[in-house]
Amino acid sequence: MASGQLGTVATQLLLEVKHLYSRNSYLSDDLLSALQDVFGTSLLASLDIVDRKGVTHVTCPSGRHLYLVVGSSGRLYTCLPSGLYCPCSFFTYATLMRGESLVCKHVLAVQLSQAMGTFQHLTVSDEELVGLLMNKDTAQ
Amino acid sequence: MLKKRKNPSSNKGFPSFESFHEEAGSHDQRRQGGVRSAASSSTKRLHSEWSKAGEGFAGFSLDPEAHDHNKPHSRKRPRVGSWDQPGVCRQERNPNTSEDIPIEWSESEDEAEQEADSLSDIVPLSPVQSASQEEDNIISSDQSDAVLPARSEISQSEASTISHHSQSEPTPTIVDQSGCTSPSPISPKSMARHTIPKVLGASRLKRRSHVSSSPQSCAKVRSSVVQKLLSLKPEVTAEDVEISDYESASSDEADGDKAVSSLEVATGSSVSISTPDASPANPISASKGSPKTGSDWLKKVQWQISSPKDGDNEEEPRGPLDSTRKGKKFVRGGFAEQLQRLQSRERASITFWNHKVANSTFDPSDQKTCLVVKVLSSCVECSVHITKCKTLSGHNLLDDPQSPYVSVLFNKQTAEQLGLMPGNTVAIYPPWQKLSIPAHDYPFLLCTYYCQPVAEGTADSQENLEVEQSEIKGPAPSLVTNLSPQKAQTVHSMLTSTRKSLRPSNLFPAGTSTGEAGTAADEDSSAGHNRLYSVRTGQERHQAVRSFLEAIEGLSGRASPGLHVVATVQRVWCQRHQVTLGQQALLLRAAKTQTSVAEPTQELRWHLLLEDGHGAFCELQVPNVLLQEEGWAACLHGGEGKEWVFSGLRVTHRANRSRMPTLFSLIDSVWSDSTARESWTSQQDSEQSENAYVSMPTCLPPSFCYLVSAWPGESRVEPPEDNLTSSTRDGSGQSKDSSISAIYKSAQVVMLADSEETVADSARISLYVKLRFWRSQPSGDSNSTMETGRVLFVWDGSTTDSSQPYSKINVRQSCVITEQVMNLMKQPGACLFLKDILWEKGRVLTADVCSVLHQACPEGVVTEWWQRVTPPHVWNSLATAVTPGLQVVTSSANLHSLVQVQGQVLSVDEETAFSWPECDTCGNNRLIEQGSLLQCPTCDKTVTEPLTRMSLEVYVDCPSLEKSGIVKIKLLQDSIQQLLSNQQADDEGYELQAVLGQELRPVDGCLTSISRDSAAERVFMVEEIPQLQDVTMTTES
Repeated sequence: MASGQLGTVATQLLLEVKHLYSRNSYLSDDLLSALQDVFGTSLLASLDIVDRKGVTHVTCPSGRHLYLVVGSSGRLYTCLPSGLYCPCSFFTYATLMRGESLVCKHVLAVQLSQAMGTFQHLTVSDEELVGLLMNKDTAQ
Repeated sequence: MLKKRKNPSSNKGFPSFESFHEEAGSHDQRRQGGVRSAASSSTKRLHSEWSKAGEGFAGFSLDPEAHDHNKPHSRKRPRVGSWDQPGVCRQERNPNTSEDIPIEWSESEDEAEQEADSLSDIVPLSPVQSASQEEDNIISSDQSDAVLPARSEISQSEASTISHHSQSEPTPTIVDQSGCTSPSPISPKSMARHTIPKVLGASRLKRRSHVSSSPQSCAKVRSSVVQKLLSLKPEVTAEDVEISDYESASSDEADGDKAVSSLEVATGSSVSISTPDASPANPISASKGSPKTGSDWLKKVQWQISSPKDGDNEEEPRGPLDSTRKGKKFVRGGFAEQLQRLQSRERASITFWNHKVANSTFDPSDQKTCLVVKVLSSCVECSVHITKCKTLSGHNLLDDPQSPYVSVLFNKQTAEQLGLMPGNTVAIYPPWQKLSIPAHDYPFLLCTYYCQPVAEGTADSQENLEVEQSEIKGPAPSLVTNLSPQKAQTVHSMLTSTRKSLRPSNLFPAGTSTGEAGTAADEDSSAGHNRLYSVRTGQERHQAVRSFLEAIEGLSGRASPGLHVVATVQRVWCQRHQVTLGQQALLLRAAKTQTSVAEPTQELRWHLLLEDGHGAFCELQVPNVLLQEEGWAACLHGGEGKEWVFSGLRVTHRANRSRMPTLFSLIDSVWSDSTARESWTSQQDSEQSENAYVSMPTCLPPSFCYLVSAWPGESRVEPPEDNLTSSTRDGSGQSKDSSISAIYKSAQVVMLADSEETVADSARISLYVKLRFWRSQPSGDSNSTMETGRVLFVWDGSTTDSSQPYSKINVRQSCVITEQVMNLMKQPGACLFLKDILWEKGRVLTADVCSVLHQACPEGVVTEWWQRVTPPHVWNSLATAVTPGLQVVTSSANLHSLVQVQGQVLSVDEETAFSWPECDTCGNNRLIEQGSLLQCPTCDKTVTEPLTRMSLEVYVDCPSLEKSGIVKIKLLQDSIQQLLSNQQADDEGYELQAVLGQELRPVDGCLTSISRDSAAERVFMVEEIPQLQDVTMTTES
């Protein structure tokens, strides 16, 4: 079997999210159920982040952009738009080391927000964005 | 509270306690108070407390070192103090704390002997208490935590003692039923000697043991416990209460019996601990009650004791509720909430399922309703088992006969339950979800929670399937050992290969599809949308019932909730809904904007009044968004009177007459105990004799009504299958459209004149009318208690009263008028069908929220429904109705009535006399003057032939008023032009004199107000209404 089948399924489901949401502005229970099956426990927390509009798309004049996700404790996590990485410890342990979970809730929240287009926008200066990238642990 | 209580014996002769507590006790003062009182009570009482202590602790603080504090005083008392060790042990009540502490048993046998000695002197046995100990031991909950842990030291040691004993002797003789004075016949020394070491071996006790008794560790424990205690806010528990209670009960030390009788305890507990079965060999435990009973009693007592004191307790009790209180609050109406509900439903359903299949094996007869697959290969990715399977049976459920292969995703739990291995055969029951992926040859099945392993040979298939073991489970790269195969490969490739594979999006391809840029994959998805679809159980499909009550009853315990009923749509109407704050999240999401909507907004929802086969009603709300779905559109637009199968409806409320009088007035109008239903039900009866409701006579109108709502993505509606359609023959033998349900009661169409003869106090009637004029009801009308709305002046040719040829109909604001009808109403003489107008005795006809305004028999629409609601005589009467003339205004004319005005123009209200140019294309009256030309900013063109609009109000002397007043009439354009027809306008406008004295032709108007002018003359304010051109009726052929 080819590797990454779960990723393929996840991608397709997110496309379904995008499609359904753009058309009807809701997510069906079926779709949520399928997402739950693939993403596991991260989904609930991610949806909560999405509900609370906890994903912010940060852009700067130079064109570089990233996502800031508000964690449950109010901490901000910097997620890159094209990559699947999150500085949170769940990602380190459960996703990277143990491979138990496909993504952490922050990355999933970014993915869902992207699919639904429900993130907030923030424009910062180039320097500020660099600051976010360089100093992401203390970014508030 | 305990501190305040004066204890006569406090501190007498127990200095060691005091010192000990002070040393131990940076802990809560209140607790200390309790401790003090405990300490100051007699030794016996202490024992009595210990005796109750039995729950999850084995505080074996028999360590000699621990007694050091007390040594200076006496040989015996210190020991008591050490047993008590209240400072430590009470803090230990936190089970979490205690569990971490290993037992260190460093007790000398001598000590044990002494203790056993003292114990045996004092402690008799109580079966009840023993039982309670057993249970406490089991429960070890926060509640049982109330029992003094300090006492547990003794009780444990005793317990162990006796447990050993009782193990060796099936019928222990130590138990003294009287529990008061008889000493135990067992030599305590011998007990102690061999029992105490045994304790360690006894797992039950070991589990509870947690207090270290070596001095260092004891101190450590203490400090750590104190710390934990400090961090936790202690509360007054039953423990303290008990102590005080005992004190008050037996504060006199001499009253030994009482104290002793309450002691009993520990030994008894040990009996039950060692013989948890309460074997019949033990007559006492058998006769005096099982462990359960005793503990119940104890708990009850504790509860009774502690509950009245709760008032003193300012802190919240820390109980098992704590964990539930942590439940996170999600945004109302948010996705997380939706998922949470879904999860709990699924969990419940899966639990049911697991219970159902726990002891059963696969039934081959299920093969038609489930999918049987053979697992060819399996790999684990992120705890999800991805298998490639070949379908053995149940292809029909897949709708995809092309490939026999499917990829089935099993979650960890399901896989464990199935013992999933390549080569297994698994039966998968609906519901599940199928996801087709364009690049993938065969579909993925998700949410396969309802599975059952199939033993070899049970399924039909005789095929020998080659089983390929998953190749992926290769050795992971040495760098990272615990990676999932997928990640391992990725990391491996990241480490070894090209830059391309370093792109993190390879991990998870979705990462590439950003929200702003629609990728090719996106388009692909939107082209072939709905790749995900849910396979539901056949049960769900066919279980549509004919009764709401049955359907609602059947809701419990189903994974996919929602009513599934067959019902007749009696009425359809629209209603505006205030979108509440809680719903704003949804709305914002729908609007996909970031702006917050502060002001409440309105949303249009469809309402359907449904009636089931048994005369029960429910009101169904359908959000407007569902109109996009084909089934709903058909149901909402042409579904009235027909039967539909609804599924996935959620029950929201239950209404009764007092709560929703409007709805019930509508229900009353359609409800009938008519022959139609009886014949229908009897017909059903002959078909389905098991129908329990049929025999129930329905003679009373319904007193309640369920409010249900349809949800996007969940709720569906479809026409019933053929066998469900109630083909109808009514009594007259008249053949009807079979699609119209027999229980449908179409709108009661009457003529305006007939409406006055309605017998009931209130009713809902429907009218075919011609509209003469309508105007908005002024909101500030002090005379009107009606909400703002519209007033319609209509006629239908049936009214013979020439003084009031037009009937007034109030249309409330809540009545939704469609745009189409609004456009129609612009032209006077329009034919309207007013459905379900509320008629109340002595009041104006009212169109309220349940009423619907239709275009009367829209052109080209000749449906069954329209024929049904259009009695020929009504229609003919309307078609031939001549426009009645209005009476001229008299001094007795009613306010807000239509009158005719004719007379001589007395004067002109010059403030209202002006004219302005208007764009001939768009009607814009804000034209820009550019030189001599006019420019319309809207049309962006030069207006060459502007229309001239005029406004004029004139005072008219009407002969009909007989000098009792004059009429001030606001004229319309046509009348003004007619007045000015014989003069030419100059630059200044028109000459006033030319108008004065002119005879005004008869104009129709609406009397809006009656006031008095400065000369105290009555002024009848009239607004002219458009003249009526004869409208040709569209009659159906």
